[in-house]
Amino acid sequence: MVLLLTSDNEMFSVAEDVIKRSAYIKNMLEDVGESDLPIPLPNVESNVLVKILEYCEHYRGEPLPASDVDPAEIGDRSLDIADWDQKYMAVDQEMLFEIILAANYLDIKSLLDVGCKTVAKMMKGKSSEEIRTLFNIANDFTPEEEAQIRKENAWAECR
Amino acid sequence: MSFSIVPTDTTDTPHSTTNEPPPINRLPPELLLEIFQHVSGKSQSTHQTEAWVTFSHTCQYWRSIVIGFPRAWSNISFNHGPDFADMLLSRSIDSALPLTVHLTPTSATQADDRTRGKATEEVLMRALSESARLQSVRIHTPLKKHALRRVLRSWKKADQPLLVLAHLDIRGREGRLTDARELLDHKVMNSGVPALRSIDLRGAYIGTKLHFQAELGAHIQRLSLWRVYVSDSPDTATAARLISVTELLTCLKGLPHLDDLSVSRLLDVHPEASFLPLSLKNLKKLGITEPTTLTASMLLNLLRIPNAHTVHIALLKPLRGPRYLASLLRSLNTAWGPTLDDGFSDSIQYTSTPGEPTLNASTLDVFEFRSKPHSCPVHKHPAQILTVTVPENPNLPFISLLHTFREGLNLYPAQTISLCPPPGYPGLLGSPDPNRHWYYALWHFPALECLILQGEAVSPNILTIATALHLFLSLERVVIRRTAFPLGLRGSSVAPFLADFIKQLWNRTPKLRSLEFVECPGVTEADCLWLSAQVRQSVEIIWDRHA
Repeated sequence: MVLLLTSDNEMFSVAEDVIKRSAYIKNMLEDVGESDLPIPLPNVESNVLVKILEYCEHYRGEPLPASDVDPAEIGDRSLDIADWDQKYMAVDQEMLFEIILAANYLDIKSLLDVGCKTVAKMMKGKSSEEIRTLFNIANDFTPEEEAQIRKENAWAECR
Repeated sequence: MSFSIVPTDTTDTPHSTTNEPPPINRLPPELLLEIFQHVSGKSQSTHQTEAWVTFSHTCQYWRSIVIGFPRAWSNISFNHGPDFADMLLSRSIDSALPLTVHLTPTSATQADDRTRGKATEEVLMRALSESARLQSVRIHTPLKKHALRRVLRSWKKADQPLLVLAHLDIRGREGRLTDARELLDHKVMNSGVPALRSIDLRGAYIGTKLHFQAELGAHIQRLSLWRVYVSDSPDTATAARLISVTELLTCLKGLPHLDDLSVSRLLDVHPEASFLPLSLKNLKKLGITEPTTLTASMLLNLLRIPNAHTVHIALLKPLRGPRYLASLLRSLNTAWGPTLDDGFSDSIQYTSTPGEPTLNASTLDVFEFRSKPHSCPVHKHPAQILTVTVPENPNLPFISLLHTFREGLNLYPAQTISLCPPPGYPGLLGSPDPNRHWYYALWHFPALECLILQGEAVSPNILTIATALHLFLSLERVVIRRTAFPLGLRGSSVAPFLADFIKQLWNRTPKLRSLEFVECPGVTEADCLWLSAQVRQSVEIIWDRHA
């Protein structure tokens, strides 16, 4: 078992084959060897780690994706997401982005990919205004920037 | 669950402050870019560029990320005006990234076409002015010939090196060919294009001196010439003719490292003209698309391609008869070389996949077969048939075809054969010459392990097939697919025969393991259960209605 200490000081005891889906933890275990000391995860809160472990538990025993694939070499980026992953990602936006950040920090490529695809699907086909509304983003452009954007829109529409 | 929470001393952690960014903007730039790339897709299209514009118009944080990502702006779109192109060029300018120039045909009115043509020309000029960082030039042009010629002439005169140009892909359209002569003659063949790896020309004119200087052609690996015309006359419309086989060979001489060659619509040379065959030792893939076998045979007779592993031959008109196919196969064997026994031919495909949409390909023949290296120590061209599909073609009796393949390509070690006789095929029975039965042709495949029979023409001939099966000592699996048995198996006349036949198979097909009925109308699960009871236990009768 591996001990993990979250940023809010929760300690988790996790089976090694479950958490090894995280390349970060896997490398750390290989570098440090067996130890009773917990691995600190200063960027992950306990509620997020619970969710991350749910994912790792689900895919326990399945082969890890190849880590040496250059994303630029991957073919067309499909937005297909497996059914279970879709249900797993049905969380509020706060949690969704925390999962993505944690997957990035823990280096869980498959989870990061699912997270990014989930957000991409939410954005697909939407205008900037609709994206702002969707993610509660403020329009913080200066008047000069607004003018430039208007120009760009005019150029884009000039066909 | 394989984890548990261990109690610890908890201390309060400071949480959110009031002016926090929205959750999505807590993501670092590299993650947002990853998401943006998922949204925009990888394909080069105007939609992709428009998606990046949308991101850049969302908020300051996104705009700074997106504008600082040159790859997002390297797809110069001609569906927008010159100002937009300038913006794209300026945003991608500091990068050494590929710049793809892509013109797509439009369905604009004539007046619109003129306006668009002018704007497009302007955009193209701007893009081509970035010669030093052009990695691929793909011109699929709706431009009027003279407009494009003006652009290309200007480009030719511009003394800018094409240092990173790797892919040149110029395509015209039927009735509106692209004049690529000046570009090829002056930019590609006679000046330094050190990184050029592939040339793809379709529906284009080139000059008659199709000759690469040695150092220029040294790195070219791929050449595709599809309905390419040659002309040295200013009046291309009247003086142009298709590129001939000999002109192609002259061109190929300057491309020693070519590994992928694809040609279509060549002009024949005189059958009695004598030429020395050209050896292309590095060629791995060869594609020939011609109306008939004649030109394909002629080209193959003049090539030596000992290391080719894939040959794809598409005939645009129905095969005129087995004699023509036999001639083609002989040429193919000649091209491979008579003394090769090192398993050089992984894959041979002879297919009718229509590559030219302007031609009606509805009556084409389809054959696919593939060779397997080292599968037979005796024959030099060991092959493994995968599929032989013969649509209705009055010129091509099915039986003759099989014989021709067998004789022409040494398909004796074939392990799998999939047959789809044409609908209404007159029958496999009753031929006056027993050697003309197709199953006798199959007899010559002693290594056959799997026989797949498909189509409505199978059921009237099932008795013959059943009789023939005992000839195959290696046969393990028979699949009958999409074949109707109107009365089912139990009710039809084949039932007792099949049962009796399968009972006797112990010594004749000792390796037979399964007989499968897949999507066969009329055949029920009960039929197959009944049949199972008739046969020995080691033969499994499989019924799959929906596979």
